[in-house]
Amino acid sequence: MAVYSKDRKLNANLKRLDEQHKDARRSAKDTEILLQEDAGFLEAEGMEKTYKFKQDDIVKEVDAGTANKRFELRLEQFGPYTLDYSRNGRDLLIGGKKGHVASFDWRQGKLDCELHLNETVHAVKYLHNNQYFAVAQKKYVFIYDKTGMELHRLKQHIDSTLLDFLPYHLLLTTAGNTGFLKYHDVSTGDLVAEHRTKLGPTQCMRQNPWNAVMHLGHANGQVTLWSPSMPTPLAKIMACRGPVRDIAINRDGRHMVVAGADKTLKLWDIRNFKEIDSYYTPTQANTVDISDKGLVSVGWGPHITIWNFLKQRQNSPYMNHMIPSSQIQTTRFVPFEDILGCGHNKGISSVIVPGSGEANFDALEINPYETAKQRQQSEIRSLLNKLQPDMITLDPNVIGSVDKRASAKRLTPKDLSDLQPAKPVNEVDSKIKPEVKGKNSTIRKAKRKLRQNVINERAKRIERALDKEKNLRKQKHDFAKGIEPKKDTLHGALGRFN
Amino acid sequence: MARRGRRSQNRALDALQIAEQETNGIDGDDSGSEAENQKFKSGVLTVDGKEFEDEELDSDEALDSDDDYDVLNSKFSQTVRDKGEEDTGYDSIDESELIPLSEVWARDDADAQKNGGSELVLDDDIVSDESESESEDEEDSEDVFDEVDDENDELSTVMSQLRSKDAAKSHKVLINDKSEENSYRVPTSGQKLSIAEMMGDIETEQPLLLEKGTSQPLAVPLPQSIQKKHERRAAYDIQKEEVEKWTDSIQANRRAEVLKFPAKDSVKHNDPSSFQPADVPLTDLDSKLDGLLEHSNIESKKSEDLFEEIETAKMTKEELAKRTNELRLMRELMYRGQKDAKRLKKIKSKTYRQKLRKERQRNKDLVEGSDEDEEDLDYKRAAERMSLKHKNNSEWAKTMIKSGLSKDKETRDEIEEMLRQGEKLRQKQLGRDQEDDSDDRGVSDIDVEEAEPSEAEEKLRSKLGKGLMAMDFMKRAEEQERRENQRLADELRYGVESDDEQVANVVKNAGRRVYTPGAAAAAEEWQTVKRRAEQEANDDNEKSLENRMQKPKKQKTKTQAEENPWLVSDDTRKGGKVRVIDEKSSKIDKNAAKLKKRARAEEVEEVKISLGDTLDDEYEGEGDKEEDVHVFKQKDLIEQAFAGDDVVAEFEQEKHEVEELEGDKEIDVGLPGWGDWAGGSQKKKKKIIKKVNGVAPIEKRKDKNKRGVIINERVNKKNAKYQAGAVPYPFETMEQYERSLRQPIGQEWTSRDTHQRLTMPKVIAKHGSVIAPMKKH
Repeated sequence: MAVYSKDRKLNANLKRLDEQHKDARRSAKDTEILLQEDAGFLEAEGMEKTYKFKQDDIVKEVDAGTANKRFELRLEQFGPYTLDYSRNGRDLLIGGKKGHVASFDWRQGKLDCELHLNETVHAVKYLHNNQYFAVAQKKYVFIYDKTGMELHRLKQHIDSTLLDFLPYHLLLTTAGNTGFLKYHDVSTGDLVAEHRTKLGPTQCMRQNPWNAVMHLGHANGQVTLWSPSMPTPLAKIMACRGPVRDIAINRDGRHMVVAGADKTLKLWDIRNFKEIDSYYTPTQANTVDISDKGLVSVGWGPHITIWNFLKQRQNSPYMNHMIPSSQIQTTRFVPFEDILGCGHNKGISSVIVPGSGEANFDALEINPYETAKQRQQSEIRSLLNKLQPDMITLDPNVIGSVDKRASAKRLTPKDLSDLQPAKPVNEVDSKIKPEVKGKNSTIRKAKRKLRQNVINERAKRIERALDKEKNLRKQKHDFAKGIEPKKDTLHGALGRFN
Repeated sequence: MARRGRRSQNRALDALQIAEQETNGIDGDDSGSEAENQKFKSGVLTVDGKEFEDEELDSDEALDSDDDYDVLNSKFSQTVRDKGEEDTGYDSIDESELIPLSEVWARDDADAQKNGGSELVLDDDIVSDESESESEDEEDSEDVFDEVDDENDELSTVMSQLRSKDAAKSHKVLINDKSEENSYRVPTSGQKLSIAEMMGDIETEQPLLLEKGTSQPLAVPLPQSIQKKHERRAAYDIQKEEVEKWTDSIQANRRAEVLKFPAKDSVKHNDPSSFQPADVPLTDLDSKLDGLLEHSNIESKKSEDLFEEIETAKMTKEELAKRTNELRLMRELMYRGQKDAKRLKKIKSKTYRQKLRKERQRNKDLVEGSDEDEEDLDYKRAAERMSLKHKNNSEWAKTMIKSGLSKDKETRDEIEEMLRQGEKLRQKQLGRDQEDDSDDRGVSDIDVEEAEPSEAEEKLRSKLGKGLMAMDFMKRAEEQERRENQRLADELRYGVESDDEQVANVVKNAGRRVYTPGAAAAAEEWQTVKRRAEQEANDDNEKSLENRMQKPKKQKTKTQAEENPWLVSDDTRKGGKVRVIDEKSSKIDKNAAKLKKRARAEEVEEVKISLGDTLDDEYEGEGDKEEDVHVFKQKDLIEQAFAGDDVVAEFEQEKHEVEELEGDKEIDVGLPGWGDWAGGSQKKKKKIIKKVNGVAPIEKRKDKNKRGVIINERVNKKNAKYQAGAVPYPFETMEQYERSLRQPIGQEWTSRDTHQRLTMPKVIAKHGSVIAPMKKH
């Protein structure tokens, strides 16, 4: 058995903790039996290539349920469209550049609301559930509820073009042409932080789902990492030579894909801050996204290519799709579904991408099949479990750990006293002062002065007594030394009268 | 009483003797700690009695010379008081400080002689007091006579009374118990209560009470507070002993993760009585099964241990007793041994330890060489060589020789001993060198074996042909194993890498290091030889063509990469699996590639696709022909890159600035021109430089050696409040603490089972159940 410490009690405790950890791991391993769904990818036979499969071919082969999820919305008037899925993937929010916003349950085709804002819409974003959504409009950011009623106009967020939402911190983040990154707490309504990036209009913004750090892409090719508690970026990455077009970050926070206007598509390891791989796109990519299972969708021109290059360098993509005579604006993978939604100039289309979605969901975390009651409860729970904005760091594991600047060992009182510099001994300080009140107030001084001048009977008497005493003392002293007492001259003169 | 004493001196003498015996008896009986005081007093008594006996004084005389005695007595009382004071020392009574009886006598005599009176005058009271028993006796005799006079009783009754008296004397405390607790009660029947009887009681209990007249004071009782303190202490000890009986169960409870009350389930599911297999097979199936079981030996037929079959039950009583005795003896011996060891361990004396050590050394020397570790010896020898401890040139030895003390026998012996010791240690080393050679087989032999696989093996391999062994992964594994062995062998032969910097020549004879100026040069030479050898060894390893090809090709790809300025900053996949072959590659490369192709046909396609491939190169044969043309061309890429703004250089510049800003700084504090005085032989003064510690020194930055990355090193103060400022209490190191945090307990991260176990309350009491008090042990 391992020995952790000389302290027997501590050792026993640590051993017990270790055992618990082992047990927990074992039982976690055992619970894998509950994950019954298996994820799979398209498989090609013989000369076939997966990237040559057309959507129509796939639709023919898949089950009816999945086939139904493939759809196209032709909305040519108000495009290009951007889109956002709610966290559980049930609802879809679309925003046309020319002011068309709609929220609906995309599987059932049930429309929640449809708005025509008559104003430019830059971005749309669901908040913690499908009940509220934020829309970045021409000047301000607005918050609407499910029915399409305008709840708030966030007047602090001017000229925002990008929106994101941190679900565990309940923070709405906006960035845009002003170059400011703003964090707005939607539970309290406070503006938590605003950071000036000093890098011009922000091109793109994405959150790192693992540590809630915001990644901002700028015109000079830099990607900056922000947390609300630091006014300067946590890190800066020189990602590409031209402006950054879009960023996507993996669910486990390990990989970042950056699409640049210089036609590069780079894969970064953002835990070690190292570039892993680099690809070229034929034209500059507009949008990238990473699915729960690590498939990367790249939208460039009318094309969408889906890659599986996070784990290994690939020479050919996984899938391909083209929407003719259109420009892909946004692509987003649907959580818990093998579907990729893409907004383009002419509307919305959803594409089947086998193997993209997480097959097993944790209903305690995000439940795609939740009832209204469950939704309400999870909302309350999320409010109670809300993390503070200060907790956002590059490495979330440092929360609760010991400060790295501190000593690695527990300091004994002796060590502590050694560490503290000895106080400079000030002589004045070291003198013990009596706890009485000072006697030198101005009034007292004046009084004392008065008293000095008074000559009364008592003062005279005391003076006389003191004199006498002094005399006697002197005599005694003289006597002891054997000095003859000085004859009083007067005594001599008057002596004859005795 | 004195009168009576005068009246019948003889009888008094007898009584005195009896009294003496009595007091002695009491002395003997009393063995408690409180007896000391009394003992001393009784000592005094006997002294006086003896004097009395010796001198045969008349109590009349004694009466006259009251004053004389006082002086003497006061001295006595002083000693008594002293004794008393000593007794008040409640910690422990030093036996040595108690004065033995004989000494008291002696002292007494001396005192008496000093006083000039060879005739010792005793106070009448004393006589009476100190011989109460005597007077008692008289009384008794008087009573007896009275009773005789009465003529109601016979002599036998007298005798019985006397006997009862004796009995009463032996248990004097009990006398009081005869009468019932009532102060006014007067015996109505039987004998009269005489004063002597009363006195007798008093004497045994508190003899000092009667000495009121004398100057012997009572010992001052301890102050109340101290008495209480003693009592408390005693009570505490007792209580502690009592409470300690629970310690074990408390400990167990504390250690338990969860305490459940009531402790046991009342329902027992596995009650053996509820389910008992029948001994006799009931049905055919049963019997069949039994037979099968028996046949297959699944069921062991081992009978249970009955009491009769236990070994101890077979013993006779004597044997059992003997055995228990043996055991007891063993236990006793063990216990003593432990006790002894404990005592010896506690001895703190330095000299004792020294002696012990020396003795041990001596013992070791006696059986020397047998069990001493070689390494130990080696170490000692090294230490000896390093130190000048046992040489003539130590400070001590020098002074000794200088001051001529070496002629002194003892010193000379010591010096000689020292030298001998040194000699011994050095000699040993020589002795070992001679022995050592045979052991050095190992490495070269292994090498030979490794280098040339035996012919038989070769044959075997060829036979196997394209079997399992010919398969790639097997080959690879074998190769790897072989390489590992080779590496180990190399290590053994050449030493581990870390030895490199040692100047000392450690080539062959490890026995002695040679510290010579040539050593460094030799070491260097040796390094080159070693390197070459390693190189060769590695080359040998790479027998296959592929492996040999690898090296030059690597270089080639590098040069190729250098041609491409755009790729320089991007190419991070040097160690990647894909090997690039294109027109520029050398012939060798191509050959190697061909070889490989033959080996792995399925990889061909991968190889075809070249570096710098775009997302749309090959797979999109049908569309976008013009884009195909765009790719690959370095010129195009560079053109397409945003040549106008040199973002990379800017970024590097920024990084440099940040490094400067956050790194340590050196500030010249001196005034400009200060110390710059030039002229003559004036030296330029040193500049006064102050070092300011920055956030992160350049060498320790996280983004060191990471191109295109700036990581902020500033401390995030807002995060600091979610961190512990120091390692919290029960833990000793940061690692321990973080280890304890490793396991999350929320149900989001763990299984339900784990979650429940980790969040289980420490005490679970069933509602309404009675919780029994804790048991001892």
